[in-house]
Amino acid sequence: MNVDEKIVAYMKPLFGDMAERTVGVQKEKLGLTKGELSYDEYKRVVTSIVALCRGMAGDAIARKIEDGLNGIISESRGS
Amino acid sequence: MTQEADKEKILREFMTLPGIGISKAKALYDAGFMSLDALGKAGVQDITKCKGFNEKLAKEIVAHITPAGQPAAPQSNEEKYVQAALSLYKDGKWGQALQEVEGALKENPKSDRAVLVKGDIYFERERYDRAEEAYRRLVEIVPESDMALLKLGDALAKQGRKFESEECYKKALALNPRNDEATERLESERLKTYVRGLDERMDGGIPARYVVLVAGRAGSMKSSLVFNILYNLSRHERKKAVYITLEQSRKSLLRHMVRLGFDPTSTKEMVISDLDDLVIIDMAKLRKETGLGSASGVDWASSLLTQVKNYKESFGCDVLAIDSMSALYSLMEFKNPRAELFFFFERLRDLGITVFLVTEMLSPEKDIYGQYGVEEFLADGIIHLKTEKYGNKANLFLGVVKMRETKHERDYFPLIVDKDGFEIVAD
Repeated sequence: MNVDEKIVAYMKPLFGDMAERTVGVQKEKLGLTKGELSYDEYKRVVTSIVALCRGMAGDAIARKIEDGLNGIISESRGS
Repeated sequence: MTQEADKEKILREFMTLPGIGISKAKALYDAGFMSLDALGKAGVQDITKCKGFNEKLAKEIVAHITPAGQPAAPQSNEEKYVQAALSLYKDGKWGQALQEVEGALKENPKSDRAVLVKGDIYFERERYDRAEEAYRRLVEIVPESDMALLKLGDALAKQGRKFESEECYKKALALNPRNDEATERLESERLKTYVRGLDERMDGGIPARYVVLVAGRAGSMKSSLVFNILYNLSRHERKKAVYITLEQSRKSLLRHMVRLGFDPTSTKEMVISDLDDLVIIDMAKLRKETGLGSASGVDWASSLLTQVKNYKESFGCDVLAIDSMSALYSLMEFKNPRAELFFFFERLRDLGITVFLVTEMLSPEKDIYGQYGVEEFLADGIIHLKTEKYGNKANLFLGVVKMRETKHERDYFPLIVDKDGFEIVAD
């Protein structure tokens, strides 16, 4: 799985089938639609997703998602 | 008698044999021995094939069952105590049996048979705290025994500790999925509504894993009632509850509940994982964010079900509320509502959790509990909230229109909502 697929899979519990679309929308909002994203760009996407999670389901879930997504992008930087 | 009850009877019979505890009794059962007689007829060689049996023990067993002509095997002190305890217990001499049990435990603190007899005596004497202590020890000694967990669950249930007892039954089932008694215990579970006066008129509450419509016209406090149920289940029974709002925003819903006297932060006191026990998910926000509405081609009902299934697997979920069905319908394009709703309800049931569906009643005159008229047949239960005008006042009433496998009254009761929560007024 690539980074995007891992991010989408991790978001499924909260976003269901909307996970992929949500990631796409956040990227669009940040103008990050072209090419492969850098770690810093992914970091911005994660921040944006986490803000959405906080509004949708509160702090506890948002923290959980944040930790998971940060783990995924950090791991990808290391690989 | 269920297969598991038969099994327990056989295991108990085996455990009257010298040197046979739960694990060894189970090994004999698993090897196909169904009675002492069958064991007696089997040769020493057959018994030694069972896990944990050597020739000496097999010979002792055969000699014990068919002693004629054979020298009696010498008994250990522990064995003597256990046999004496079993005999006294059988005769109803509990006090003396307990003394023998203590003797056995002095000889061998890990004697599962002695601990089991101890637990059973206390359970029969309705000393459930002591029974719990003994069964807990039994679980430590034989962690692979589903019977030990079932017994611990029963002792906890008798003390009103539902959450813990259910955990034991679930663990017993994980060890042995064919344990019918654990399944039965879990299936007979009921969830309180925390509406004072209502649960006692409904066999103690709503059967767990039911799909229940909470129907009413606008302003009949449907959302508040459902929130009240989830809030109290998570606060008092540590149930993991998820409230999905499709229309009203999370913030607005929380503000409203705080005004009604709920303190959503208090559910955090009982957090059993690193998440709150009551989580409100604002799907309206996701709809806005993704820009996906009814014309988007997205199957929202299916997406919602996937979401809940994934959520349950990742974080746990015992109770779910979907608020509201009208909002969900506005996102769906039905080709065949009857068939599609049938599958929607079936998939909800397959989630294995209790589901409350907040349903707006649109007809001003007729009592139709769902927009498509089929929901009332598909749901396991219907709680109807209605308002009636008396002069300048609109009074609230609650009625249980349907609740499968439940004896419930069919009257409509005045519903009072104040700082202490919800209460029905009944004679």
